[in-house]
Parts: sequence; structure tokens; C-alpha cells
Amino acid sequence: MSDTATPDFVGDHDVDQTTLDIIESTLSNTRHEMDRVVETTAISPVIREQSDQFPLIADAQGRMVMGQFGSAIDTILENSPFDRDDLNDGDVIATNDPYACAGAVSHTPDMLLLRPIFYEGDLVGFSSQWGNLMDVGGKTPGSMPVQATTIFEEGMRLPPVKLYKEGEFDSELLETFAHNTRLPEHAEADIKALAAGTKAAETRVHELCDRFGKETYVEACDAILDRTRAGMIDLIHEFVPEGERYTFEDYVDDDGMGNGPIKLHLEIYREGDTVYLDWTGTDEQVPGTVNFLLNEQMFKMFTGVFLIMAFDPLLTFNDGYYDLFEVTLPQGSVVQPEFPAALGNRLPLMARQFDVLQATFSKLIDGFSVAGSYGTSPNLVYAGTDSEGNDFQMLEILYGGIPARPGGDGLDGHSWWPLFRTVPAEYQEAYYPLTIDEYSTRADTGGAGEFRGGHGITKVYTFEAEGAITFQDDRAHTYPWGVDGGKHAQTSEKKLLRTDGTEEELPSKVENVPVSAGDKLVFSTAGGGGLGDPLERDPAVVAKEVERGLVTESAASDEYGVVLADDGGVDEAATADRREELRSERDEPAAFDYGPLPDDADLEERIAAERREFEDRHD
Amino acid sequence: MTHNLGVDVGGTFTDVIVFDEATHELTIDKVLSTPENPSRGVIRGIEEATTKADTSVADLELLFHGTTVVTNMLLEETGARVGLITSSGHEDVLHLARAWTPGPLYGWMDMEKPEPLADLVDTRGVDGTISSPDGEETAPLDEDAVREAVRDLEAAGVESLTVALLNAYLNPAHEERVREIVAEEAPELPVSISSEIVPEYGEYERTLTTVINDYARPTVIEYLEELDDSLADAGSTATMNVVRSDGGLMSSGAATERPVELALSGPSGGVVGAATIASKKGVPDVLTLDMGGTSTDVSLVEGGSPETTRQTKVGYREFKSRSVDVNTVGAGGGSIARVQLSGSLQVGPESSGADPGPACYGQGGEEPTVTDANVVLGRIPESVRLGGRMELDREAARDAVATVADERGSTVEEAAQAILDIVNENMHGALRVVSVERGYDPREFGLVAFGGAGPMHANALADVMGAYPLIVPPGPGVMSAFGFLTSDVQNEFSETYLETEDDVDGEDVYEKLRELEAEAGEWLASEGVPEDDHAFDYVAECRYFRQDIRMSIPIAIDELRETGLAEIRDDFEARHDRQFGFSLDAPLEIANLRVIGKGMLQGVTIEERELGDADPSDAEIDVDDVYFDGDTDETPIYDRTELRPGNELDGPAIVTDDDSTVVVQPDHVATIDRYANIEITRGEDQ
Repeated sequence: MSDTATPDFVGDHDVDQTTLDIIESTLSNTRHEMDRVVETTAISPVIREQSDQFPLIADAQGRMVMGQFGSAIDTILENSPFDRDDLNDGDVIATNDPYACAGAVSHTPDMLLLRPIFYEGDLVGFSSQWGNLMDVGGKTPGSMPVQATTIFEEGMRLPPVKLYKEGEFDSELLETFAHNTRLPEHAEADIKALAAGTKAAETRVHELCDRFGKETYVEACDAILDRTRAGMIDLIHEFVPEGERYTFEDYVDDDGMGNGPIKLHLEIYREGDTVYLDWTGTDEQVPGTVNFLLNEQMFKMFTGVFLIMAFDPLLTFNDGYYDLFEVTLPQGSVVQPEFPAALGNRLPLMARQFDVLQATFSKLIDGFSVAGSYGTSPNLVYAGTDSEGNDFQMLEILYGGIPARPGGDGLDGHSWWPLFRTVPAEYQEAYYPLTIDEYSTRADTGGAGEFRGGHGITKVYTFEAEGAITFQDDRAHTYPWGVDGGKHAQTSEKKLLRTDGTEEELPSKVENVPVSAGDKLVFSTAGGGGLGDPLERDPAVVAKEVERGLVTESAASDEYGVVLADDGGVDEAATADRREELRSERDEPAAFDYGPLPDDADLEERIAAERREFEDRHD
Repeated sequence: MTHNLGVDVGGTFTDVIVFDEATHELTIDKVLSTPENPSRGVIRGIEEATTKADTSVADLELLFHGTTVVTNMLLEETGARVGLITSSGHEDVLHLARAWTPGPLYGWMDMEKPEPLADLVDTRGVDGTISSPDGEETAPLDEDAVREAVRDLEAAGVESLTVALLNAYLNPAHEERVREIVAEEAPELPVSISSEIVPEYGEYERTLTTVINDYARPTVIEYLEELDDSLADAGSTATMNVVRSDGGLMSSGAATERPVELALSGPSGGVVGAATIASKKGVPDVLTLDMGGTSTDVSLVEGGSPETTRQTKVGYREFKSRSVDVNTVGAGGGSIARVQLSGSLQVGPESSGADPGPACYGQGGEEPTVTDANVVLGRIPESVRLGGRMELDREAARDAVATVADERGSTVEEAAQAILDIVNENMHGALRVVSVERGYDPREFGLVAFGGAGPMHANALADVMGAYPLIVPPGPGVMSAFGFLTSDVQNEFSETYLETEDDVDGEDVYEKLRELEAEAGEWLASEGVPEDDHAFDYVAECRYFRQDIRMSIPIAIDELRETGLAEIRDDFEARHDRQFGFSLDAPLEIANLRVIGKGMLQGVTIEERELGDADPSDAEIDVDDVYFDGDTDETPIYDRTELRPGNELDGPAIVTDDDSTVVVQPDHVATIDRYANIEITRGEDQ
């Protein structure tokens, strides 16, 4: 629970405004510099090509001043064998145990490094950086098994321990850890790269202390937190109405072991300066690996960032506004599972948690709506032994439809998570035994709307070596919803085409499915929901999208009521008629379009049956 | 009586500089650009400047030409309609754009993503595959489909064609065949193939870069042909050299084939010029600061050579083309200052532009800008008219800055000082990216400042970074045009190598570099450079196996066969350790080999003069109150044209010039050196 007392950084600050602005912009640049250092020196494609890593700079009390994920430094220190007083200049703490940092990293492949920063013998702050390692051991390559029920199956865990002691690198510790992974060289190099990232922040903080003095720097950190808090109070008062309570519910399909759907339930309301966010009513934790240990601070960060990005994108976000949000996370629920629940595939729940937050705010804030997204960060691991006898292990993140946004269409096949990028097909073909036969937009899969939801993508792989695939996706049973008259998007699909001509539909989460040379995987992701009445969409845009192959002619007519002339242009008269016809046939649109979902019991049975049948086939 | 001429075509002004080979005199001129028909402004500028220099177009020997035509075409999206022929199944390569969305979290909510420069409507996939990594044909090219696609696209009205097929970097056969078919079916259509423009892996970047090439080509072809015709009409027999993004030169003909190489043609000139001037002075390591009206370009020069990069960025689009590694930040004289909701002061990136311009221009601008802050503090003295053309409205500047002072509860002077501090900090941030973030200590570098506004801000920046001496060259407002005169004919030839030290030795790398050198030599010969003037640089782009960095390691080719790869590895490890603080026990991988072929040209000779008397009083034209660090100082104003080599000025001082104003801070000393630069160092008290 957060402290309801006013934080100690609130008040007058003896630092002139310009110095404050300079320190703030330097810290902001530093956070990006940390990323660049890690991206360029790490060797795993998931870090170097996809930018999966997260920096922060905190004050001496461990509050994040600059970064994007919120800080759990207190918890990490509590769970470590040492006290704050035992920290020394040059120490770097490492941990990848979600339960030892209250979910600051939420699955075992994420390695977090934390460096206390000293100046003239005094602790002035911390820098921290975490990144997704290729493998940390456990039962499947990539350490994200689908079929696991405890975290012990998800690889080697480091509790918070010192990887560097007063600048001395503990190579035996790192070797012990790396020894337990399938790709020890990757682990070593990537962890060193993360440490280099935290070092970059230390250097910059030292320079700021040299330039402005230690006291001024510390005071400036307080002032930056205070400034953000004040800005957030303004945002809350302007955009979050007081009095009414708003709720939203949505589902993650399943846990990969036949259990689902998994309900998330959020209630938001405001009293005075405080916004209450309550997850009571969310389902209990599940046996499989989709449980998401949601860090309370992190969720406050997400909430604040949403308001900032929606209404004042220039405001710095940091831990300054933590006391303004009061969060309830029921113990033992899927968003607060108890040790030793498995956590490897927390991405569907993490993504859905964002969807639910967006939806609840869409209900609460007049004139601001966002639809539902493709629902996770789908990922694929292909591992085996190539024709020359070398082991290989490929990990890739895929993307889908970005929801329609206030004032604009969703993006086709883009990432809801910032700064991620696809791995080039030419890189995959050069380094792994496969070909990429297709990487394309799935026409009509984004929800129709005045603003169209982004389409999902299809990627077709032909495997050239014997091996096994493990992947996770979601939104195969439930639909990314549309909002304000916008339509729901289409679901994801996976198909395996064997060389013998057989075809198999696969569930969205599978582990170690054997593949042979020549087998093809068709991996299709979900679209994003639409926003606003599709019959209000500009017909010329619809016609253009038909010409581009992004919308089919039949969808133009059936969803948008746009009839095309022979030259591909809009037939104005026929369009007016068609729209009139569609309007008269339809019911008053609901605020949210969840798609043709069966009732909960049917859905539950369908999900269980799909898994049973899959297991039967692969016994 | 031969003359050489450099011309820099910017968005607003075209700068021209004429060098007289007999007297070593430089003549400077500025005319308005003519974006609607760019060659016209160039011709007018050339004619006006040659007249001013008492010569004629017919007497010009070497012409050096840099242009923002391609840059602006990309920013304003006014290029050609491009057709794209790609591998079937991968038609959406540009549309999907590697899935990238900006930070932070929820960055997608505000993302504005421009349409691909080759529309999906004009994109056709064709069958035919090349395997990877061995580059064998595994399915033949469907030539009938290619033929149909070409006819179809031409009929639809595309103005140029890009061919970008998967894995073409390993084997260009299919792309070359498509080009032949285009020549048969649509001989008028300009066509580029990706394996020639960027012979490297990465289908998105290679396709994008090649499409940009074709997006610019029709306009560039027309522009350069018109220019050549007009010059010929004016009696010119001069050799035309076009300045590339990397600061090198190529012929007009080569430029029409590869216009993507002109994307940063303009800014590169200033950096090359600054590098030349600083090296001549014996300061081979400098940072450069080019501050204009809306933005500032900074870069790093080491050992007299500007750092270059393979990633060129214009607006949203980042593509593979070699350019001087210029870091641009939205900080210029016209940058607008605003107080945010949270109380923090932001300056830029929004700019008042040329119209209405800063409040002090008196054209209706009301928002406070950096120039207004300089006016309020007296940094632009009464005796100066901006650009020699404009009377300043000091009251309007003061009123505009007062809005910031009111919101922050400070005096107008304090608000003006805060605006300068913030904009300086933004430039400082940009300078750090090119220096400290790459492991360089700015205290070991000098600073060269130019651009209309650079010399006004540079002293404060030099102070905060400890980068001395600060050098303000003569004619800081036309530095790019001057820089062009110092450029060489240059092009690079590269090959994706992707070999580790376990698989190849010095002999292998030597052989490969000699092959590339032969290609480079042929190209130089085709550009008309005699063999005696050919020079080559050899570079290996290295990393630890599987890393993503590419560190450019220079190779001494004569020793390569004897020393093997050990020296390359040592050099790489030292740089890696300096920049990142660690090294790895992993094999060295050479990702690319490059040979840069250069043909030396002598466009300009920098005149060296005798040092005279230290007393500058002959050049003093006025004394004004100027605000520095919370106080007003009585500050002498000097006329730069009257200052002589050897003169010494104690700060604070202001030096006015035709095209810019130099601010010398208190406790600093400015001297005029033997090359007519103003050199500023810290005074003895500091």
C-alpha cells in the first residue's frame, strides 16, 4: 500500500529553474544513452534487433526520477542479504527472480542490474537496467515453457546478489549462472552490456554533481519528482471525473494448459487528488505460465503514463505521482500470483491489463476512446540441430494490429510496445536453417470503424532442419474489441503444413512441437479493434485501401457501405444507398463490440477441448 | 585568371563563394533560393557572385555544388511516383516498416506514420528465390511476371522504378535481370536495383534506401541537366562536382544515378570546411557547431577527418547511406520558448521559421525566440542589421520575452538568459551524443562554430564543455559553400563480409580489399581523376561475433599480410573498451569491408598572413551595455572586417560581421590568427 502522507519531496526547492531544466534534460538524455549502450554491445538479437531492455535512474531513496518502468529498489534491497548501509561505490546487484523484486521483472529471462551511485562517499542515487536474456535454463529453450506449473521449471534464478563488489567483477558468480543456461556466451555478454548501461548513468550523474554540486543535484531530483506530481494532480482534476465508479472486464484466452478464459476486472474512481484502481473481481491464479506478477509501482507508472501520453505528452513521468494512485491487487489472483506460480508467459496478461486500463479510461473520459489491441507480444522459439551438427535457437517477437486511436487509424502489424522492431527475414535466413516465404498484412482483420483498427500479419516459415517450435500468442478465442460503434477485430491463427500434405491447426500456445525439414508454419496475429461508426468513414479512404489490398471489396460494401465503381473509385450514389440500407438493418451499436463470443461456460469448454485434442494428437 | 566556385543551395538562401587562384581572395554572395525551379537560383547566384568577384562564368575552372533539393523533397514529400518490384510474399515490406513505434509506452497513440514512398498500389511481387547464406538460385525468376509488372506500372504512371529482391545482397543476378527487362519494356523509366545501392543485408533498409533513390531521381536528373545546360549557355567549361552526404564529391552524371547520396549534401560541407580550417591551424580534433534559424547540426572531427555514419536520417526515415555523422537538434535562432504546464521552460523544437520569424523581425511574430533573447541581452548590438538587411524591433523582442518572465516571476533579462541557457543545453546534449557518448572527452577537442547563430552561442558552450580553442572561421554564414571547395572526389565500395577471425586471415582480407580498390580505381577514372591523384582508405567494420555494433577500424593495407588480423583486433578491443568499459572473450567478426576511393582536388588555398599588432582599437566601432551572468557590462563592439591578424580582444566583446555576430564572454580572450579565424580561449584568470 502506498503511503497516504504527502511525500517528503513536496515543497520549496532551493534550485534555480534553469539548473533544474538542465538536470532534467540531462537525465532524460542519459536514459536513452543507457539504451544505446546496451543495444549496441549486447549480442542477443532480442536485445540488439528488438530493443527489449529498460533503463532507469533513481534518487538515493530509490524513487525513479527518469525511466519508463517505475522502481522496486526498496523491495530488491529487502529481499537481498544486505542492507542499504552495506552498499558500496562500485557495487552492482543482479537479480532475475520476479518474486524477489515484487515483479519489477516479471519472468526469469529478464535480468535486472542495479547500481548504487555514490558521490564523495555519499549515496546520491541508483541506476538500473534490465533486459531479456535469450535463455536462463529450465525445461524449454528460451526459458518460457508453456506447460509448467512452478517457477522452478523456468530456469536459474539469481536472488539479489552483488555481481560487482566495489568495482570487482565476480566472474565465478556469472559463470555459475551462465553455466545453467543453454547459451552461456550470450548470457555473459548481455549481462556485461547491461552493466555497461548502468555505468553510463553513473558517469552522467557524477558529471552533474561536478557541475552543479551534490546538494543541488539531490535537490533537483526532489524538484523533478515534485514537478511531475503537481502536473499529474492537474491532469487528474481536469480529466478524471469525481464521484462515479467505472468498471471494465476482458479476458485472456487461456493458460496454455486448457484453463480459460481468464477474467480481468478493473474498477477506477477518484476521491480528491487520489485515483483508486481496484483489480478485485479478477480471476484467481492459473496452473499454467500466464500468471502476471504485477508490480504495484509499475502499474501506477502505466496509469500515469497513459494520462500523460493522452493529454500532456511533454510531462516527465517518474515516481513523483505514486501517492496519487491507490492500487488494490488481490493476493492469489492472476495479477498477484503466489510463489511458486509459473510466470514465463505473462505477456498476454500484461497486454490485456493495458487494454483494460485503456477501456476503463475510455468509459470514464468524455470524448476519448481507444479500442482493444492484438493482445500480447506473440513470440516464437525454433530450436534444434542444423545439418552441420550445430545447435541453434531462434527467438522472435511478432506484432499485430494497433487499435484505432483518437483521431486516427490503428497501424497494421506494428508493436504496441515502444521501440521494438522485427528481426529482418534476411537475418533469420542467414543465421538459422529456415526461409521466410511470406510476411504480409492480413486484409480485413482490423476492426472496421470510422477509424480502422490495424490489421494483423501473417508470417510463413519453412523449416530446413529438424527441431521443435514453442510459441505463445493469444486472442485466438476472444476478440480485440471495438469502441464507440467501431467493430471488433479478427482473431489470431496458427497452422502447420507438413511435407506429407497434412495440415494442423495449432492452439495459440504450444511447447516443443517437433518439426521436420520442409514443414511450414503459418503464423497469423490478431488485428486491433475499430473506433467509431464504420459508416462514417471517408469513402475515398476505403476505396484507396481496397486498391492497396488492405480491405477487400466485399468488406468495403458489407462493413463500410462503400460501393466501388468500375474504375475503383467511389460510386457515390450506390454508397449512399448501401449505407442507408446497413443503417436500417442494424441495431443501435453498443459502446463496446466484443465480437460473437459464446457464453463463459461454452468458451471454457471450447478452450479445454482444444487443448485435449491437441494433446491427444501429440501424445 | 582562373576561379573556383562553391555554391550551397539551402531552403531559403543560396550561398556562393568564389576563390581567385591568383590572389587567393574569397568573394562571398547570398541570393534567395528558388525552390520551385532550383536551378534558376543557382545560376543567378553564380552569375551575381562571379560579377562581384570581377570574373565571369566562362572563367570558372572547378564548380562545387551542394544542395538541399533531395533533403527537402524527402521532408516535404514532393518526389516522384515510384514503382517497386519486390519478392512475392514480401510486398508489404515498407508498409510494415519493421513494426517500429516510438517511445515511451503508449507512443503509438501519438505516432504519425507517413505513407511509404512507394505506394502498395505501385508494388508488385515476383517469384524467384536466392538462398541464404550461400546465394544460390533456388527458384528461377518469373520473367513473364516481371514483364507484365513493368508494363502495368508504366501504364499506371510511375515515374521511376525500384527493384529490391530478398537476398539480392548475396547474389544480384535476379535484380540485374529485372533491370534488363525494364530496359526492354520501358526504356525511359529510371530504374535502381537494391544490390547496387546498398549491397548489405536487411531487406527493409535496403528497399527503403533504393526507393528513396528513385523517389529523388526524376527531379534530380531534370535539375542537374537544366543546370548543366544553363551553365553551358553562359559559356562555362568548368567541371561540375556535386557534394555528397559524406562530404565527398561526385560528377553530375554519378549524382543522377545515386541521388540518395545527396540527402545530407548541405550540412556535410560545413563540417568538411571546419575540419580543413582547424587542421590547417594545427587543431585536428574538433567538434563542429552549425547553428542556423531552425536547427543546429553538430559533429565530431578526429585527426582532420569528419566521423561518418552509414545510418542517415531525414525526418521519420532512417536509411543506409554514408554521410558525415551530423547530429541535428531543433535549436536555432528562431526556436520558440514556452513555459510548460509543469513550469519547466522549453525552447524549440518548434521554430518561428522565416515567416513571421522572431518577434524582433517585426513581421508579426509574438512568441519569444532565441534571437529575441539575444536582442534583449544586447548580444546583437544596435549597429547590426540582421543579414545586413533588417532593422530590429527591440521593443517587440522585449515584449515577447516578458511573457516568459511573467510566468516565471523573473526579470526580463533573467528570462532571456534562461532561454539562452536552455537552448545552449539542448545543443550541449547534441554535442555530448557525438562526443562523450562515443567515448571522446570534449576537453581534448576544439570547437569550430559557424552558421548564422553559432558564433553567438559557441563561447558559452565551449565553456561548459571545456572545448578550446573555439574557432570562428571567416564567413561563418557561408561555411558550407566554403567547405565544398575543400572537398575531394570520393566514393566508397563495400561488401558484406561476415567472417570471423577463426575463418579468415590477413591474406584473405588483403585480397578482398584489393578487389574493392580496383573497383574504386575504375570509378575514379570514370570520374576523370588521373591515376596519380588516386588515394584509398581501407576500413574493416568490426564487432564481436553476433553483436550489432559496427566499429570502423582503419587498416594499413601494406602491413596487413604480415601482421594479419591481430592489429585490427587490438584496435577494435581498445575502442570497445574505451566506449563501453568492457571487452569479451568472443571472436572478432568483420561485418563489412570498405574501400574509400579519393581523387584530390585543389579547390581553395587558405592564405596565411603575418601577425601584426595586438591592439584592436582601430576596429572598435561602439560600446554597448551587454548582459552577462546577472550583470550588465560595458562591452566594446568590433567590426570584423577591420580586425587584423594578431589583434587581441579581451572579453566581454562583440564582433560584428556581414552574416553573423561573435560573442566573446567575460574572462575570455579572442585573437585573430594568421588565417583570419577568431580564436577564443579562456583568460588567464580561469
